[in-house]
Amino acid sequence: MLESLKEFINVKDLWISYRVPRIWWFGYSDIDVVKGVSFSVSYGECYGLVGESGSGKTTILKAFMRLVKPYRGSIYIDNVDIYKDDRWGKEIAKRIGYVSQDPLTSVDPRMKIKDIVAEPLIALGVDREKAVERVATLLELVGLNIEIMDKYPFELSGGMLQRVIITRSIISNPKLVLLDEPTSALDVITQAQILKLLKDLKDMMNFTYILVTHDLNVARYISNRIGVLLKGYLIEEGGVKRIISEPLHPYTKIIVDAFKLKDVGELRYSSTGCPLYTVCKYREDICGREMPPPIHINGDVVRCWYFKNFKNR
Amino acid sequence: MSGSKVKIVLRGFLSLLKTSRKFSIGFTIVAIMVILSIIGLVKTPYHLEGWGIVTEEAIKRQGLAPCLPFNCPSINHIFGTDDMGRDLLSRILVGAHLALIQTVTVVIISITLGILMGVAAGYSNTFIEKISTYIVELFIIIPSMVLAAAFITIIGRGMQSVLMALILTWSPWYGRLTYILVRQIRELDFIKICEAMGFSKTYIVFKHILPNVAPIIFVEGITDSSSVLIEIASINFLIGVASLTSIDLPDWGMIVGYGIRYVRTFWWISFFPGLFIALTAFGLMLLGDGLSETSSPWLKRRWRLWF
Amino acid sequence: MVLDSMAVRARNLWVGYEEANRILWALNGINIDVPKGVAFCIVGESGSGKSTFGNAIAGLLPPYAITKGCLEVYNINVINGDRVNYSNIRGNIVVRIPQNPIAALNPYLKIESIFFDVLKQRFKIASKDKALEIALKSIRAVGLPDDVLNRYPHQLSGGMSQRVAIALTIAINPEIVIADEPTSNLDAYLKGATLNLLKNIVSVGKTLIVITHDIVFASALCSFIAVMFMGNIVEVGRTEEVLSNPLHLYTKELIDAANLNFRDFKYINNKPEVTLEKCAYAYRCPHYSEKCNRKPDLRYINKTHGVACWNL
Repeated sequence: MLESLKEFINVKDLWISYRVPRIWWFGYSDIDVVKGVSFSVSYGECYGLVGESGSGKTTILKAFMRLVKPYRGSIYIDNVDIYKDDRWGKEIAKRIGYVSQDPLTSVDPRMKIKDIVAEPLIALGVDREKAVERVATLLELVGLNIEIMDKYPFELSGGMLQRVIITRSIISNPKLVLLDEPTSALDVITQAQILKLLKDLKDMMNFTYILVTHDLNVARYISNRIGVLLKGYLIEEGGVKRIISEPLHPYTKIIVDAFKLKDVGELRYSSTGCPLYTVCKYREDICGREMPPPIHINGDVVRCWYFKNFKNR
Repeated sequence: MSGSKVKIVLRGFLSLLKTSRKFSIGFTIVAIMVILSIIGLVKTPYHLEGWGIVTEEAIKRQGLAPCLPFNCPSINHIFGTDDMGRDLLSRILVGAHLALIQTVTVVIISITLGILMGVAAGYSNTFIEKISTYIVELFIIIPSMVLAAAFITIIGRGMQSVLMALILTWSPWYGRLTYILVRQIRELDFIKICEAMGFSKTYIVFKHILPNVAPIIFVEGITDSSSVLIEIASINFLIGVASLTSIDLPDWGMIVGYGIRYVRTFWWISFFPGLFIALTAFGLMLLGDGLSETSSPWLKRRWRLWF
Repeated sequence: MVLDSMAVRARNLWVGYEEANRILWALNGINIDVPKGVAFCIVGESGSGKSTFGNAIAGLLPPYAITKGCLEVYNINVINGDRVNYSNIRGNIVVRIPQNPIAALNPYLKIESIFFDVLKQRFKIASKDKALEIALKSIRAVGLPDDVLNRYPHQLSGGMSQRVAIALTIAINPEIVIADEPTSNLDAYLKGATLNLLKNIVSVGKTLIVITHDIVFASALCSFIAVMFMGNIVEVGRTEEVLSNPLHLYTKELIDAANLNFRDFKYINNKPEVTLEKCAYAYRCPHYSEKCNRKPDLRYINKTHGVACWNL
């Protein structure tokens, strides 16, 4: 227990559900989107959350942003439970950077670039003159021209706008930056530029990233460790090189195969027990009944009954 | 700060005049009406009061004999005279400022109330949202004339009943429009990021939501002002509601109403004010259309015939 | 290349869109031949005009598009200067698989009704049984279960809707299939499946034109590749040749970016202006010189490999 508190970010047993109105009857039903996710991130590390759409990765980011509240479990940033301690939670929220998927909807189209980038500093109460100075410094750092400060978002291309958003996310000198598929909406050359920028910034200024993506290429380039999500469960976690060369969980194997452009066919998931029960090659009876608990192997985590004989370290 | 903003607005306005034909025509028509209304306030060719109220001083002031009733349009009276011998041109000129001021008042107040309601409904908790949408839907059903008639019975004659009835009819419309827009904007990423950064709801509303919503509503308001004008004229036509100050200050609709009995023979009494109503409404509509076209340029693409 | 084994032939093709006071040219004088029965890829970033080219071949240009030059599909002249005539080919010889599979299906119709509609239009099949037969065959060919026909589009996942779109094109049985960005709207793990499906289309002898910005996907699927930049084709040739020996600097940039290889890296800052006479790549070319003020033509260095640059 004490070891885990030394880490910068701790997510413990997170359960988040959405309230959905029932279609053919009155009332609501609660659908679990994130089921028992736990992981930790150290300072200056980039943790990648990999999974398909519907796996709950965006919801976890929303929980970090305090936009949805988990009904069980907690998130600790620098040993502060961001939900229990509301005042501290709000202070920390001002020092987190956010980069989301679509650059066009992440900025107010009526504001000039310099106002957009200076906004987090205004939330922290910084004087406006100083804020604009800092904006200029940082824009030069990411390789953008100072002239764009007086332009509007629609005058910039997608790649430049995403770089502006990255600048906005780092201007408050955050310790944590949340990246929600930052390159999915961009084309190849711009993608490469943004990824290089993110990696350079991390190496230079020692940021901590939590990166959500469905593309293993992106995860491999920036992340140190990866957590694989399947239908709300964190089924494998480990160093990125190890996961791509020797995946343990069958679902991870499927994802790595698909990354190498092999045909994995249509995946249909079961609703009880392990979601991979219907298509798993190594399935046993217990896989259809119960979801396996996290099993620690060499410092990594796997949730699969196949490894039930490994001793818990 | 505000000096440069005024310059930007002015420059945008001038470029709009140059590029959009609709806007320039509409603006010209409305400008002419404004000039006419100013003339009407300052000096009219003939005195307003007619046959029954003419006095010695009036004759001395004007230097003319009282007009004969039912004159066709002639050199002395360009638009003719009405049943009481009053010069129609003068009455129309005075009615101009009434029409414009009433329209502008209704539109501005409805837009303000509508935006307030819409933002309150779209961005607060579900309770306020439910109540606001309920009130909006309630009032949207009631047509303006029925409401105006109700107000006149309760409050009495006068411009205030017409204005209140129209404001109550139109604000729910803008309220619902704003509500839809606010709901859409609320889902966008930049609002969520602001919420996550801890900005208060008031800040987000004033700095992010309103600047994005207000321009759309304003343009919609200008386009709707032509309908408002026609509604005011219709109410005045049917009910003959006079203005606040004097019983005889004629609104255009009222003049049409007075003359409708004689429309077969003395057609000019209804025709000319009706013409002015139509022209002003047309000008306002062109103004609004031209404005909204520039913000969505894809409407202006010319389409080739395919074969 | 033999003259009448070409599926698509473009000669000095210009396609532009009319804006308020000017014309925005998406294609600036394209000269290209697409042979029959191959998988041909058009690679470029957004704004390069590749989607416009695909639309021009499929007959899906919007009414406000302006054309110049000549485009022939299966020896039928579809674009000749100002006039366009797609009546013979749209829907029967050329079919396009749209970019966003979920948005391409009518949300009010069941999948089988969509099939009936399409087959009635194409083959004038009136009997539902015959149409159902063809629909079942196509659905099975893409690996979907039979009960998909009874579902509505919103009940399908992204991958399944794309398979349904491909099944529809199989049912129509065209000669040329244009796949517009087949992988951008889907999760990365579906790329392999899409690859296989498109390979199957080529294996029965159809011509496949894939429009994408993912050069890795293109290299796995296609035998020919054409690189477009700002409305011009800058390099064209067999995939192995172009990727092992990229001649144009833009192709090298694309390959480096796809492999996340940052040797000569530089941030690209300015939005390129529209240039009709100069070489479009000049604004970020390190070898820029006087002669680059005239647009280079596509010159072939061997029978299939062509590049548009004065420096080669």
